[in-house]
Amino acid sequence: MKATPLQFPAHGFPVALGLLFLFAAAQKLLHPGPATMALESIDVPTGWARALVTMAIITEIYLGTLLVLRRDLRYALAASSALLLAFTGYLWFLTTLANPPSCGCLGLTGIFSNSRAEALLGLSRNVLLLWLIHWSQRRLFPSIADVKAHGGTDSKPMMAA
Amino acid sequence: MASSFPSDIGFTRPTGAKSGWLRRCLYHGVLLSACAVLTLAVRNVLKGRYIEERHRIELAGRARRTGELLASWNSFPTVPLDTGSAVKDLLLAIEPAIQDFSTAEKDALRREMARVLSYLASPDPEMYWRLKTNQVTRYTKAPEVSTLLVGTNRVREGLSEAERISAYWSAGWTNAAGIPRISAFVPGSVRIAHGGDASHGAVFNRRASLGFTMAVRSMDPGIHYPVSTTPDTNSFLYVGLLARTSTSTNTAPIHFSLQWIGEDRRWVPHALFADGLLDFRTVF
Repeated sequence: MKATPLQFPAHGFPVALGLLFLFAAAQKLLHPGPATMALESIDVPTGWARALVTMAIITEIYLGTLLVLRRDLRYALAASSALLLAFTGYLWFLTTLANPPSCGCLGLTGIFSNSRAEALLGLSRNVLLLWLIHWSQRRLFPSIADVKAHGGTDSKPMMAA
Repeated sequence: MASSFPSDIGFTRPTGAKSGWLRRCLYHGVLLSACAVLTLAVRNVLKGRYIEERHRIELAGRARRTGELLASWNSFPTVPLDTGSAVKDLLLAIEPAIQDFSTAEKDALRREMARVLSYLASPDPEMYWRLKTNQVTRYTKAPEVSTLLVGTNRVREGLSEAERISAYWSAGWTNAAGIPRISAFVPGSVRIAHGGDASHGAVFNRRASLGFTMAVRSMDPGIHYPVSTTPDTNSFLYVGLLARTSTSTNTAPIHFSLQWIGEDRRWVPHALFADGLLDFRTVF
């Protein structure tokens, strides 16, 4: 299959996403305070808040490892989409609050003096990541329709190249 | 012919679909468990650090919230308290809240409130003694008061109670700035409530509450009055207002309460709490 200019980014994106997840997990492991207290400020009991943060860390390490090692990529990308959708929903909820707490996302706490701006940035970032995941999935795992749409010479999926 | 089912990277198509699926589940299970064990172990090791971080965030949050509150309070215009019109405005502000009082209570309250405000604007021990004991037949002195007063070298034996209070008063302030006083208040900020709760929390936690950052209680020489264990028979008036004092450039809440002595038909000072930002501690 002829290599296209978009092949390499599509191959590299899962690894980059995996590294991002591992970085976020490391940040939350070292500094869980902002994320935990953000949950507590929306009336989540302290025990539940800690458990949710712990689960988020475990999930990020797990998916980050899968993505970096490029193991079971289809599943890893789909699970990453689900995780990012959950985070995006949470950030959207924070932006609707009158005085949103800092979300503690990706160690960006304090980069803005306004927590709402921080939440909006996180929202935009996650939407971009979701789009990139979708784009990467279509490049890496094209459907039969995609294959046929490319016609004769490009009919083989990227993964078989 | 292109495969209809592109294989995922890293897995070769197993010979038995079931065993492949099981192997895959085992792999993911082990990886997930390893991630969980690693996370829990690290979190356990860093527990102390988490507590410090949480404390730091709470302090920063409290400081930020205090700054926001202070900016809000300081934005209100103030009028000097030691003018007759200011006292009149304050008395007018309490009228709606005392509609259900008896005539005796209302008349006594108007008199006493004016005296209390005058005292807070220009404190002196004689006025304090009169506010607390004038025409009051029953009051008790806490035992430690006498001990406190006798311990100072300003106190001699054979002094009257008023002289003892004066000596206590003088012992309370040694700075050149003199006795702290309320210099101004924010018109329209006065809140009044009525109830039977004698606890200190009731003074700044009820409907008269304007909030506070840190409540500093006034000095209490120990002149107290009988309080019934049945709240319904007690009568306290709780007052909250935003004020400025001679000891600070900030505007912040002051809460005080008056107690009704039915037998003597008098309202007497009960307790006063000033916000810590005012650096205001008087005798009440």
